[in-house]
Amino acid sequence: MSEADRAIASVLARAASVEGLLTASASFGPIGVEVSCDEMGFVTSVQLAAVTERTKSSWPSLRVLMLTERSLAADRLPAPLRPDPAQAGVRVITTDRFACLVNQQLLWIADRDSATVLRWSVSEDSVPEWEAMRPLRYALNWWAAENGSALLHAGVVAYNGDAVILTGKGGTGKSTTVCACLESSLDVLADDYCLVDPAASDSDATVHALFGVGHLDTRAIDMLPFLRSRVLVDDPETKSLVRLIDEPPAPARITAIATITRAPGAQTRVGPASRSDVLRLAAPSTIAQSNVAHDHIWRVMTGLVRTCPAWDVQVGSLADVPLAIRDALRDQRP
Amino acid sequence: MPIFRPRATGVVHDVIEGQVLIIRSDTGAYYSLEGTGTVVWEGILRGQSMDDIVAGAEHQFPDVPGIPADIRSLVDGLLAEGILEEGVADSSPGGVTATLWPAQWEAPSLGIFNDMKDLLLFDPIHEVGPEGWPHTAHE
Repeated sequence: MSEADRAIASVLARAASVEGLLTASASFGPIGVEVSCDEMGFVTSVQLAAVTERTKSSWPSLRVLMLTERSLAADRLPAPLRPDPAQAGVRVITTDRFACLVNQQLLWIADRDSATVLRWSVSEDSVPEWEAMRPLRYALNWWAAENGSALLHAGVVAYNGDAVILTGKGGTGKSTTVCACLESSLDVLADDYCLVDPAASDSDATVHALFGVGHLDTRAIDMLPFLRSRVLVDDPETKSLVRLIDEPPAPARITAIATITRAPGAQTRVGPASRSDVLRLAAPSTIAQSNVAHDHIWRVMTGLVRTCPAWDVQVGSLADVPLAIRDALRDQRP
Repeated sequence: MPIFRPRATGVVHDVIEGQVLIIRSDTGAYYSLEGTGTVVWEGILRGQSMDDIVAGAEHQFPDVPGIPADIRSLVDGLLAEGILEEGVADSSPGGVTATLWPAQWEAPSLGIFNDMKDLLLFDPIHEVGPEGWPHTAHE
């Protein structure tokens, strides 16, 4: 075992030996997670974000330890693994066995051998909002890549098991477009992150829901007033937490991958797009946020873009969105 | 006769519909190349030297002046952006399909997009130092 592996393994062993932790089980789509933590807030945020699929999962489950200084003091962490609020940026440390990420507030250690992830922060309150909104994103990202899949930064809606992946830069209206499909004949699977199983030789690529909640700003909620009854945590300053998925979802076949463009005042239409434009809009934010397995995620994305039809969803009237997407998905059926 | 190749880590790239898309995963910056730029890029991936790529372009466009400077400028840009590094000649390059030169020469230009920077301010990425554990990139 290398010096790095020994140091990281000892931190993980120390974390795993902490007694009296709170425990909870949750599913993020097909990924079952057993959480042990020392703050009740972690249990709440994980269970709020989780979503269980309708179909039985064959994925191996993941153990996640969510600890704070309360049960594992910062000075027990070797310097390269210790979050430092004064040091901007993120360190990524990868060995044959471990994948670690350290930023100003958080330490993540992912252990391939034991399918265990440690998430450490000074306190629950010290975690930045973008991280708290998607509480296990790093762990899910890593576990997805370890199992040949990939998290994509994209929204997803489906009709009768056929899904379109909706990509776009931040602010293009992914979440709003997805939420416009709530309470329609479409199934909403994701507003910002989904899990893609790339195509095997004898099957189509599929996409899974990961999180049961979405995040919308006040303006979007004002545009779609029916969302008010779905608001779980109201936060007019940033984004409110909105219940996205009502019934346990099923994975869907990926039928198309689409960009979103705005067409104010026009009827919403779905037209063809260039594959390179779709990749240009879909890939950078996914890769930039993934922190792990960039090459693998890139291959999954380029594979999707090469094999799936590329669409441009030109969003005019939000009321037209569900019908326009439903018709396009129906027309695409073989 | 310098030979270049994409940086071994932190750079992903592919050609879709004749357009090269390159992403630097550590900065979130992404880049595009089209037309003559795509052909130069594919030559680099095949392990061709700069001299070979220039010779191929000059053979295709014998009446166009300034081709060596145009290609050198593109390669300088790719080096400055940390996309390329100097490589060694590979005796068995392959696996890259050669795209035909376009009908007309247009100086290749590198499209640079930095709009992921805002995102990375929230969720930044930097690698550990090249000397590895326990050294960080900041040391």
